[in-house]
Amino acid sequence: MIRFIISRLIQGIIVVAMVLSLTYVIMALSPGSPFANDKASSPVVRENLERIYGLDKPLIVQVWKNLKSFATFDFPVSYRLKGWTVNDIIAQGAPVSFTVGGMAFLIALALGIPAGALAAMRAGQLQDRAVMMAATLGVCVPSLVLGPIIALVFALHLHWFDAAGWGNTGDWVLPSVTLGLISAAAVARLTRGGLRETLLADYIRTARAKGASERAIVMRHAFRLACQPLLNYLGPLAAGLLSGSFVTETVFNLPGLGRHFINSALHKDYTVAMSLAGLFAMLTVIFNLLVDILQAWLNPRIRLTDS
Amino acid sequence: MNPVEPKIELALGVPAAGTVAAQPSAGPWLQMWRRLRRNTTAMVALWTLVIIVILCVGGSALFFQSQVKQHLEIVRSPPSMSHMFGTDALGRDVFQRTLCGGSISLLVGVVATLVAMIIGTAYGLISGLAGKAVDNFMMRVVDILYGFPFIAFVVLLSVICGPSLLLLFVAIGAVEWLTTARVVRGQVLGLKNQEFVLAARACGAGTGRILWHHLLPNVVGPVVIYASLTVPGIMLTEAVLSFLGLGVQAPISSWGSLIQEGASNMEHSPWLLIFPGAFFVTTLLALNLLGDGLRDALDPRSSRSE
Repeated sequence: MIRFIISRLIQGIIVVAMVLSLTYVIMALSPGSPFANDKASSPVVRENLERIYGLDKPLIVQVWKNLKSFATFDFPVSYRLKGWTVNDIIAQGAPVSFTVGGMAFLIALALGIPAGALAAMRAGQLQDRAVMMAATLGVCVPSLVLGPIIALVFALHLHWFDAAGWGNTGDWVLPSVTLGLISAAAVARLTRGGLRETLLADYIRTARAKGASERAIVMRHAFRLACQPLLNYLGPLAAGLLSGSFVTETVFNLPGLGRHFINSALHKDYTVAMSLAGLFAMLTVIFNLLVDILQAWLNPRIRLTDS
Repeated sequence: MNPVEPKIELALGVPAAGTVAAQPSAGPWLQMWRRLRRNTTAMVALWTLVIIVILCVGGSALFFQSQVKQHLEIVRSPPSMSHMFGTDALGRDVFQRTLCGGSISLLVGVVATLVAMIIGTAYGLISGLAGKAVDNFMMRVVDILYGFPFIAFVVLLSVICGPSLLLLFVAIGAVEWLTTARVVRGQVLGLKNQEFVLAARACGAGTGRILWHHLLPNVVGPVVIYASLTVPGIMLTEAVLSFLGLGVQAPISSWGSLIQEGASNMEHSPWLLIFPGAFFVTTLLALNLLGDGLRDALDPRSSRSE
């Protein structure tokens, strides 16, 4: 178990280091310079700027310097936003993305699991069909369609919330609901699929024979195993939601990590784009590891080995 | 002599599907089609898709010129008899623009899927056939790439590639091949020790010939199924990029950029959002349902698992 976690952590560190280097190299090899857009600056000024930030050094030296600063959590400065370090940008964007993503994750679970369980218990009946139809539709409605519609109805017509921005206490609601509804659809489908298969197992028949109530069977006996495929999906989902959704943050004009990443990519802000991509990779690694541990804890038949 | 040659190949290639002994009359493709025809949902999805494709392709051929024509005297007019879906902020007809944008979205979806399938199939075939150390290494690379923040890399690549439709295909395709590679490798692992491959080897066929003539025909089925489920994902990625302003650039439009336009004008002219959005969602839904139906038709056992 300990060996498994350690080996996975080492693999995770390699992944994050590769993401960091690759992002930096892709950006550095693409045409243009972070300072090329300053219209006022003459070539001499730009060269001096590049020397100050170390961009005149060989690529491998630049990558190594930035990897080192990432490893010590002493993030580099932004090339574009004067006076900002990557720490500042993360400190500003992370609370926004984490609030919206975290609430969306809770909405997805609170809505998707009961709906999927209901569908599995009433398989083939009206409730099952209704839930599955809604879930299939939900999987296919992308956030770039659902987000504006939700903003249109609840902000522009009903005036319950602000249509865009970050500042009022209720500003997380609409973006979280948008992301939560879409994720809930996938959660419901996976819950139903897992439960339907598990409910046919022998040990469920045993539980029934013992006289356990249907509620106890589903919640205490079946769900432990039935949630395995769901957990596989929840790892990447949690990482993706916490990283900040590019589309939803654009629709609702939120200053989250996703917006920062797109702006940094557009403006060739190497260090910010690289650090944020590294952060996204780190979240993915951490949540996938958590899922593996959780799965082994729920299902005693899974043994964690490092091979 | 020529016509005989492909028959021999067919006879060698088909037994792996395990169906020839049971039903010598119908090939696996015909059987699959018969099973698919019994699936009402999948057939509705298929016909919806056919109609949408005909509308979009025909529409973009008819309205290629007129869709960008500005009529500043009828700006933002709601849906009416002369303009079924209304007009946008420059007086352009939303119906024509939706159809033309649709053909771009569909084109990106299909071409990028092809790129992803070719890379993934080649990678999976080589990895599966090579075995042991090479296979291990190649699959570990795929594992590591799975940990990459996928959408972040698509955004990066599209920023770097600039506003080029061709590079957009490549950028999306280059990131989407991972699961195909896994699927194909799994198939090859199951196939490569079967008798027909051994027989081909005994007859003196080289690795290239075995790959091309004996393994490839047998992995086409799963790859097609997986491709039909990949197209909606790629169309969504393209829409996200265009929505963020990183995909296709004006005056060309796709559903993603139309939806973006609609979203920024939705307060006063919601039809700009509703019509392209409805077309996009319907297409995604139809593709997903068809993909599910194809999967069930190819492998009847999997049909009850979800």
